[in-house]
Amino acid sequence: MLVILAIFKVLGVTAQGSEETIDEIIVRSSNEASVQGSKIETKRISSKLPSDVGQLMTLFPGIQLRSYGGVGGMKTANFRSLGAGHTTVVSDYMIFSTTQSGMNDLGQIPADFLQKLEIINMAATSVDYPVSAKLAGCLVSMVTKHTWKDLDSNQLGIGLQGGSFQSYSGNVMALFQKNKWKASISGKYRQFEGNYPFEYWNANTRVKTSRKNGDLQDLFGTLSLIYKLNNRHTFSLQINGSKYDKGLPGAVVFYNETADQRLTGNGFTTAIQHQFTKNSWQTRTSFDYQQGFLNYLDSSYLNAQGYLSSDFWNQQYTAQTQVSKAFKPWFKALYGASLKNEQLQSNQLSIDPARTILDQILGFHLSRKGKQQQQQSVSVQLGINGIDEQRPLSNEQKWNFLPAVEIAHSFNLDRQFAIGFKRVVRQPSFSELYYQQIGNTSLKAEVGDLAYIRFSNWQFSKKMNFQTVLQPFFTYTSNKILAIPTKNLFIWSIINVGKSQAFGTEVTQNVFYSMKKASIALRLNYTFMYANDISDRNSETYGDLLSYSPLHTGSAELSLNQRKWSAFLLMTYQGERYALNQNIPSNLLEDFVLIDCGASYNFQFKQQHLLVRATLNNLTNNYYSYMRYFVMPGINFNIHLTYAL
Amino acid sequence: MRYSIILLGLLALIACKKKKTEDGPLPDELKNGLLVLNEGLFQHNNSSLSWVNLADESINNTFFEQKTNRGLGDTGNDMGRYGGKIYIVVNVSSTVEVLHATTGKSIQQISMFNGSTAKQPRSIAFHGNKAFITCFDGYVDVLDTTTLNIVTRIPIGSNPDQLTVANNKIYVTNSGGLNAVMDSTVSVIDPSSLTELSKITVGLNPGSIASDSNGDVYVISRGNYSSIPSRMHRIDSQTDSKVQSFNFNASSISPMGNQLLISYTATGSGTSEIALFDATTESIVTNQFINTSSILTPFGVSYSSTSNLIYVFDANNYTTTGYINLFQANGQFIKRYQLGLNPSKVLIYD
Repeated sequence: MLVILAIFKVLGVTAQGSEETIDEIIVRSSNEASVQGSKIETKRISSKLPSDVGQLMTLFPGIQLRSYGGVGGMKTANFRSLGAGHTTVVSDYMIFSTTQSGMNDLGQIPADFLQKLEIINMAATSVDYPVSAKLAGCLVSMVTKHTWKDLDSNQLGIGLQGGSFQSYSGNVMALFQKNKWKASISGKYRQFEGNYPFEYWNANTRVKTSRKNGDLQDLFGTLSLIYKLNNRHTFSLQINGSKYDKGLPGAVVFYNETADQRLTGNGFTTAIQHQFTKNSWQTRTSFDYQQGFLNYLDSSYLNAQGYLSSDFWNQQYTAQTQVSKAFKPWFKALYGASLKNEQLQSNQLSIDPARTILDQILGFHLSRKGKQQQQQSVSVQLGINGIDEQRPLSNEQKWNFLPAVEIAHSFNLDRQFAIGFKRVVRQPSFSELYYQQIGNTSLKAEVGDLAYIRFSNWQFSKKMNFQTVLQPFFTYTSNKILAIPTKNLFIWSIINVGKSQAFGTEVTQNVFYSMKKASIALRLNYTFMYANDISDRNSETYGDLLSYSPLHTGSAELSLNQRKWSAFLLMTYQGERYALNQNIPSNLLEDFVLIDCGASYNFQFKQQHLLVRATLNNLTNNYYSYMRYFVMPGINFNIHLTYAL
Repeated sequence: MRYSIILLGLLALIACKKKKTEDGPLPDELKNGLLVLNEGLFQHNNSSLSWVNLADESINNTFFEQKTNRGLGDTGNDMGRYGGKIYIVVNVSSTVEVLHATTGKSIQQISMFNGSTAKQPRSIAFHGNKAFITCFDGYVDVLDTTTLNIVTRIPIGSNPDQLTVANNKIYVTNSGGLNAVMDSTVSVIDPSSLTELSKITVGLNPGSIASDSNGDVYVISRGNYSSIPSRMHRIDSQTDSKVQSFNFNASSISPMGNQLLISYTATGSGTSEIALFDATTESIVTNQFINTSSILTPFGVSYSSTSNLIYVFDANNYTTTGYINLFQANGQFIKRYQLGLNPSKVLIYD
């Protein structure tokens, strides 16, 4: 049978009940799957009491988080200098719609019910990830408890959380199964006043003030049903709904703190799936429908009405299927196709745009065993991205060929070397194409080429394990879609002007130490990235570092686990970076270190559990911002009680 | 582990890349130089003043910060010198900064708010002991230049933009730029009664406005940047009526004696030209009066009778620091200086 060569596998170590899971750098060079990426799992996720998924992204190497304020602020993730439009976010096999803006706001995705959060680089022959997502530059995959993955008993959980700046949230989740049926239901409500104090430098003057208009209320709900007909066929249905209302504090403007914009909206999604498994065959077929409404209101806009109200309605239908077969122990293949239709209506767009996208993928994985546990493998992914879009002056019908390949050599069970390449593309968003006065209907797709080398090493001893991964990379992006002022400073246009390149390396060093009654884990992540503008040799910025591309980012986390209690200390670093592409001192933003810590204790009464968790964030009360003048909160705390039955 | 350490060491060697620029000395007294307003970029709080010392050609790009220990704010749109004071209109910060004209020290920051609503001041002009400040909220604010108090607000059209003085009246363009259907009028204000006398319809989206020595007022309607082109119009300040429209494109105008410098940048191609217009014969003298081949984005033109020079601002690509280009009055290029982000206004000091 097939051998899973888990060079960096999940290491579950039990020390008198304490369990620590070291994050995978997943390299399963097997015929079952060829998946490469990194992930964090439920215990580590929940220990942070994250307000949203975006808050967790700094734990991954290669990710540059762009956070536009604290709770409620927009958060996007760039991967190896590829813009946020190249990041595809998947939850339980459904791709979050980006119809409205072309990118996902990770600040609006709750993290409460996550089983695992992954960054996937390559998954050529796995049916676990949607077709379009596998063709993206960065795949952020979330698996929630609604899938029942690694769960096998009825559960009821109720959580209550309170914290600084009048933040309150509550969630409830119930999972129950009977015969061939599994069902789950969850809900979450969140409220946040958002008026946190902060300080900033106005030239040589230190200013103390507090954030205004940062309130937030949102509500999420999910219902899931799984029917396992037999060992071969499984059907599932998931329905999600959300509603939100929040202030948009925006950037700090000197002498003017009157931002009075609001964002309200709601979303509804439903997805049905069928999975089939027989011997060496696997298929996965799904259909999902998503709709959303968003209203942007600026009640201080100086037009004749005295306000600006922009409405956006979006719809997205996706149908996809994937089939894979292991023809031989050393050869597996996959074919997948996805058909997506997306539509947007808005009083701010020049037309009501719609487009249809057909993505197809052909994946292969070949492996060969050598002497002394050596193994070579090749993963190939041939993707075709087709778009059909009726634009005002032309019918845009384009095909993009998106190849990817990874060649790996495993020296033994502990050491592997791999080299890979991937071409990715992102289509211009509807806003970039059609937003009044700004949009440009002549935009071409942005193309990225990613190349990387990965060296991974694992060292075992009786009590201690080391995991080391080095991933040097190079990224080249052309037809970069940028917004720049063209007509005058107030009237910007979206154009394809840019080219950029980035090289660097990601370093991951995990150390795990197990004792008789406890375990300790140390996780170090560091990313060096030199991303610069190579658009125009005559430009002032030729060769300069791209805006918001720090040379150095990283995190260091120490966690301790015992049977009933656990604790962690996390340090996150973001290096100096420039707010604009021109690398001059006035555009330079200071680096910062954030220190967070937390602890939890589990009270058990027969079958009932009461888990108490607390976190203290920004321990040194550091005043910082990811994006210039989008201020972040100082020291703050959260306390969470979970009752589980 | 050892590979990580080796790699980290290598990276540390190549990691540092910073371009440092040195600021020139800060003058105690403003003389023989240029004080330039750099507009900055929206929501970056990086509007600034640059001081160009013409004696040694040193440049100080943090003039305001060093004089006041604070930033100028967000989007400085206009600057004027009147009497012993300099007035700087900062649009997004909604302030008017008043500086001492010879030392550059701050006299007062005037907060431009109507209750909790930012008025968003845009431009300034002077008459008698009053400064007239257009505000995007539909008013012209009248500032007493002695007490530095706003004495009244004059309601006019929507999103008033720029203004000029002619025949003892104030002419204000109502752009309506924040509306789906833009404005097309110029308001005439009586500086004695501080009331609007009339509205003159010129063309869609009026912006730049200037007057000549004959008392004629010239105004540019910018159109809608696509199907409706920009045009220049002439207003007779005796009758306060539009008497002529010119059939050429124009972005901004600047008076030079009895002539006008008219700049135009094509929105599609980005090509630009600065033409010389004779306000007596009411005709273009030459379309390419100033060679703009080395100017990426003309961002304003200004003539000074004090220096008898023409100053052309280059916004570069709007997100990188720009230039002020100096030309002889006959259009001959002299030199240029690199300043802050989006330079747009200049005061000349002997």
